[in-house]
Amino acid sequence: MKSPEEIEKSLHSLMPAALSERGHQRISQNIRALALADEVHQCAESTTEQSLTAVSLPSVSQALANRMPWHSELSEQPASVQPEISTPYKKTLVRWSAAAAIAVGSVFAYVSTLSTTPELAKISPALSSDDLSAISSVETTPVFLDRVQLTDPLADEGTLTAADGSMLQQWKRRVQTRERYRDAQTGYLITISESRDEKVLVPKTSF
Amino acid sequence: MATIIADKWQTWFDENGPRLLLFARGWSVSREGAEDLVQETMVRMWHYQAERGGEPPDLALAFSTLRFAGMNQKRTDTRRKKREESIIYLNDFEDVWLDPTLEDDEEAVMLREAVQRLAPKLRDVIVMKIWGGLTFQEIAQTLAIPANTCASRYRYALEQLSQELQTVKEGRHEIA
Repeated sequence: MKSPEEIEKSLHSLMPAALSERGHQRISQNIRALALADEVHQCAESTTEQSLTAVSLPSVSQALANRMPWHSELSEQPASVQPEISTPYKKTLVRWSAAAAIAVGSVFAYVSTLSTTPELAKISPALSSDDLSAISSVETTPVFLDRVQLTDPLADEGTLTAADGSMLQQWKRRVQTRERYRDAQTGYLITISESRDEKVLVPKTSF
Repeated sequence: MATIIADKWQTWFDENGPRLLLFARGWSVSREGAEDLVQETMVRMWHYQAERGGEPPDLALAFSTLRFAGMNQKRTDTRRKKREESIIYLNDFEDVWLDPTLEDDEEAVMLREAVQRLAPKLRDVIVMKIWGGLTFQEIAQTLAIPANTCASRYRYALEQLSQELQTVKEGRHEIA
């Protein structure tokens, strides 16, 4: 009977069987693929880093102030003056408020992305508030691109009786106006969508 | 940079692949299954090492990762076992755990077969010690057991191999 030391020596003389050629190739290809994937990932990260440093994020308040020059004027006026704003101006105000909301949403989404993604937050440390205020001092004016008006078909809402006793047929339709602007400074595409319900009253002469 | 890392991993794999395969055989019923396990281990280690500089791991970590992957696979295999009971496997008679081309005597053949028949607990220690070149401390960390237990298992495995060789030899002599 052999001693454990002799068995140990005999075991050392045995060699593990090699992987099959196909298995070896498969794993080698896997290693190459993993390395390639990592390289692509690193390239993408460095590209993101460059693009992030290149993006000039405007200050929210300054950018809005530039785009809404009436905003400060309105806030300084007494509340009683506000209802006297003419209808076209009111429409413009609504549109620009919608634009401002979209812009604020975009900026907050961007900022929240920066704060929730550690890698992104790390690679843009130079983006401080001082830089933003400096950038935002540049005057920016959105460039009007196009306007589309969408109108739903008329919906019958029945008949009404006017004060003078005449019968009126009431129709309702939804109208949506979309305007698109591009911010020349940031490249943001701003879509202003304004929806309204229109009611059409037609005198009813026949039944 | 990626090519350099890939070359390092390839060199590491060329050197240690057979060792990993031998260890993986304890966790898989077939050679193909063991190779799949080695592949899975390589992928797992790649991702693990990516956060630590991307260099190839030491062998102890590789054994540990393979063991973890093997346990996962075993759990899956247990669920699959009933479905596979009706399948008849065609044995590959060249399917060996240790390289038979280097065996020049009958005793080496018997020893190889005896290693395959060892209990998994004992075999794991033997594989990591003899062919992995790990210390008992490293084996202990891999198997999450005390180093003394590793040493005991190792000694017991050697004794068992010795006894089995003796038994097989005596049996063959009686037949002759």
